[in-house]
Amino acid sequence: MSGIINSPGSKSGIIGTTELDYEEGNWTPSNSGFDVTGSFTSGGQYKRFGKMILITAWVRGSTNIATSGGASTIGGSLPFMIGGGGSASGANRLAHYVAQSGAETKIGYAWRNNIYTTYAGTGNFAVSTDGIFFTMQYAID
Amino acid sequence: MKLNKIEVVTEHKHFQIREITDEGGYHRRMLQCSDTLADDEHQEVKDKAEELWTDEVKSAWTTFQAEHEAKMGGV
Repeated sequence: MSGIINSPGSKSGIIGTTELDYEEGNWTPSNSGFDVTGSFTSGGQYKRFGKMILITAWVRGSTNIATSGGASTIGGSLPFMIGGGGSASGANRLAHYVAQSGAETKIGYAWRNNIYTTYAGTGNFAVSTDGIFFTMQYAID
Repeated sequence: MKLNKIEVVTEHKHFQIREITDEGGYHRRMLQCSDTLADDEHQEVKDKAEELWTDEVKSAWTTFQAEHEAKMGGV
């Protein structure tokens, strides 16, 4: 049974005696910074394994969705604050996401509790009728 | 959704909120002190915001966020 969380013997092979916290649920990206034609809808899921978080999310406009120049913060309200990586001020609370919009794949960054578009040439998402899809994994404190 | 947990994280008093959906699963979201709370927000969240989101906290967060976004090429 080793390696199976919450089963007899699940601590086998794990250093120390701490059980990994496991949690899963939903989160809902907010409409901040998106250019939406029609009505905005969004959804997402998260899984927490100890201090690691894995999220997936999607955002859509009923007609289409994109981002334009000047939009910096998008999809706020991550389910967990990104970890500080030992930074006293927490300024290092950074993580990266991969996003897909139509045929485009982009790598962007998130800081603290928000996802951003503009950094190191991430650029904007072109108009998509299917939506924009995100995945990201990050550590928490 | 039913409020299940409020965790206050970072020096800028972000709220990490866990709720239980009508289907029994978890839903999470975060609120920052620059947010405007919805009229139908949980009363416990409103009370905690009233208590912790002081003008000093809001000002510090606005400055900190603006500095970060300028540094990273945002607006």
